[in-house]
Amino acid sequence: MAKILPTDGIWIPESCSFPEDVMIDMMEGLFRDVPNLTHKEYLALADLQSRWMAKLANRQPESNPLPPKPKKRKKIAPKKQDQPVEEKGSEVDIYDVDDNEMVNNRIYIPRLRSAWRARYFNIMMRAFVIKRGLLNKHINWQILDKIMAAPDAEGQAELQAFVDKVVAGQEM
Amino acid sequence: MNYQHYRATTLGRTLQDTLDEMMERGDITKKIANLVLLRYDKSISTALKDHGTSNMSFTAERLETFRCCDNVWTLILKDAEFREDQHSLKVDVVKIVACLGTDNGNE
Repeated sequence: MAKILPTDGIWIPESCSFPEDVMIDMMEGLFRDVPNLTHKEYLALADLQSRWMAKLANRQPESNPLPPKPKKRKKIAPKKQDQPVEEKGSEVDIYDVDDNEMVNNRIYIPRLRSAWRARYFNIMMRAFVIKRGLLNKHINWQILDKIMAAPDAEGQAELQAFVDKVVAGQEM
Repeated sequence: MNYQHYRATTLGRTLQDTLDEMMERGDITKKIANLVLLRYDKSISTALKDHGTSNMSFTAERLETFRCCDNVWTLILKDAEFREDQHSLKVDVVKIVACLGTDNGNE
């Protein structure tokens, strides 16, 4: 099968006379639809016809510019919520410190529910609370749901208040 | 319905270039130039309807994009081949813009 090239002289038959068909129809329509043409305008249209034809004869079809390629969307990683900054401090064996000494207990809560993410909270408490495991029996789903639904700072404050309350109850 | 997208053809571009040149020289007013372009939109639609009787078939390796917005279909074909009788024409990219042929949308 022969390949058509723009310069090989093979044209669709109608395409050769098509510009002239358009031009004739256009001029007839203009002279008919615009009755108040002045003599100057009439001459200008006649001049337009010849200039247009001359320009067309020397112009090869031009390819339309390609549409711009859609920009690839950059995948933006979801921002991780800032974890509470881990305090740099030496870890100590809880049984080496005095019972009444205030220690920072890093409480870790794993992802027990699908909607949660694993988090930890730095809670200040006296050493004896940890040694005796006073918090274990008081931790319940209600408080866990509450602190895990809250932002980090708020959750930490809630848990601190809860711990303080439990400890106060134990001391009474 | 007369569309203006035929002004982007070689025929339309040369007409606009000629009108621009004549306006710059003061041979033609902007009002007449606009009337000419409006009439061109109508005449080329008529000419396509009355004189465009040739048929070509085409195939394409890939339909890159297709969309329909405000009753205007736009298709972009990659590696298309047009055939007429014994001849074929290969084109890397073809953009097809298809609009309704009449005001009432029946064609």
